[in-house]
Amino acid sequence: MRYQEETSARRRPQFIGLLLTAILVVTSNTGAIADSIRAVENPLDALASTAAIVEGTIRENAYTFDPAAGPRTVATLADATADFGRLDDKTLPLATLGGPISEKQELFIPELPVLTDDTRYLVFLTNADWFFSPVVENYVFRLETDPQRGTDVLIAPSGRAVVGLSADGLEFSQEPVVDTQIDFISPHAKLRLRDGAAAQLATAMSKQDFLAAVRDLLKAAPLQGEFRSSPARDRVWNQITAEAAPLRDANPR
Amino acid sequence: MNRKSILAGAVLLSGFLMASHAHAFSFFKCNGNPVVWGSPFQMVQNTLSIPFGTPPESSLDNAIGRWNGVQGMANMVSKAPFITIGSDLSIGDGQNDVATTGRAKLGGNSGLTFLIHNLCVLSSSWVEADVAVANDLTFGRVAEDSLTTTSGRSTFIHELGHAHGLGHAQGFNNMRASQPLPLVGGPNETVDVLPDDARAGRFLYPTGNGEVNLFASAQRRTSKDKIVLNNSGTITVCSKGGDTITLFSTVGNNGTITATQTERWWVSTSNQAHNGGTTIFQWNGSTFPANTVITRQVTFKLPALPVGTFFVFHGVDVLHEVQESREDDNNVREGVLLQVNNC
Repeated sequence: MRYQEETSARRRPQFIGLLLTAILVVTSNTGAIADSIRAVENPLDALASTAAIVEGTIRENAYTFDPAAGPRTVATLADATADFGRLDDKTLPLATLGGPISEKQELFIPELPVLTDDTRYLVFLTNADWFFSPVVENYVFRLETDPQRGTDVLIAPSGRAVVGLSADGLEFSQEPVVDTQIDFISPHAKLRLRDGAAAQLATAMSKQDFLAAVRDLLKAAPLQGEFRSSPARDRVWNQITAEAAPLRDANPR
Repeated sequence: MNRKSILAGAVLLSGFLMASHAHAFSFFKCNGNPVVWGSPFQMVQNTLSIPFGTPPESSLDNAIGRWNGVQGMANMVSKAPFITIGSDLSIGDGQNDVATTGRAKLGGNSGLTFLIHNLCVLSSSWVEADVAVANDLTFGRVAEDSLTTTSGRSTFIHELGHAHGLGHAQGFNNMRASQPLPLVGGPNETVDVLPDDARAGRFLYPTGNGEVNLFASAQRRTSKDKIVLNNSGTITVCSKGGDTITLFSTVGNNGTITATQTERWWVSTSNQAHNGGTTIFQWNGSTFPANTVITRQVTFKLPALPVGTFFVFHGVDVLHEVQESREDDNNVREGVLLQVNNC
């Protein structure tokens, strides 16, 4: 039974009792552990945390709830293919923490990427034993076709088109090409392109050029580990374990 | 207004590039209506991870104070009169916890805000916000002329923006999705609510009041949406004067009223010469619209200067023509040195 098939529909989910462990495909990799998760400050950091770079189409979003894994919004990536790394299945559930926690309330975590229905994406899948999102930081890009060139280009979660990629970082269009404001009445509705987007898409980096740049960066930061399609099982969604910061201070001039 | 016409021996040689960033703030909606708090909310400090009197607490206090310092926005967030002392905090218990934790427990993020809202039908409101910030960040004051990706102070102000109901917005603001985040200048606190953030707060929680505040910054946002230093490295010139230099200069208007005032650029051998120094250029009558950040490229001839190495400063409203809600963010030390040689 597949993860997303067990869920009810969009806004009024019926909660299920099955454990994620019984319903998810789990890889046998032993390399990724939670403490391998690190800050992602640049594309090399991102690649070091990436098991595979894949693309496909989100067919639908559905909700699940598990006492440990918590509320999950499961975006089903269909017709998935790997640009880099290994992908064993053409359909991939991407289960992000967030969604209804009762019939009256919903959990939402703004830092985590939101994937919209009927939208093509290029996704960096983490090699970590993830819990919040299977996506590396915000390295998930909507794919759109630039009508002038007929080539695919990438749109970042910020709504801006990707215009460059190097070890120093991603570069984006000055103005967004899609509106990114989320309406909880239909949080997974595909976001419309803004007026004037075509002009910005025309200046965006093509997907082919982006992947070529990734290929170059992979020489310095090769992919490692494997992707796990299920969240880590050593965590409970509604508990934060507080840990003190070491006492130190900045030393500004 | 009491503007004077002083040029300080320098000449504006060329025009300037202007980059004005209109608002881009983002918030969450339900059926088209903003999702907001129905009443002010309190954050419960976890003193195991944020002990009293420590830099993390100072960062938290700064973030709360800065958000509440936005005039025209209702004071929405405060510290609860009670604390938690244990290591286990709960999400979904109706209590707004704030703590630090290991980065790995945040999925590698610098901070996460766990927001709970009433299920969206016609409208919705926030009912809980738990904030967790990575404990490997640096929570002390951030140098005005630096670019840091590890600021706990910036992270707290960002996460409390989420707690108010703001989403990510890519501008010269604190709600950018990733660090480095821009700073204000001055010898004191450099992490503050920025114009786009303030505008969002006034939109979601309006009081109708206005605010006047200008600030200078040593950072700018590039056309490819990166936050970088305005100027860096060392510029070498001759002591006799007459050399031409070009500097990026950023001014933000954090308020609701367009302000016209006088800017000044100066140098000093002291890195704390936020006032005084030797003027190298002055510009009368520059205007900054409300809720904007403008970066210009200013080119001018230097006057004669003593031989030495100088820090470069840029100030806004240097003649105190504008009554501001905050005056200690007007002058900034840029990230560049001026090396004056004997020639």
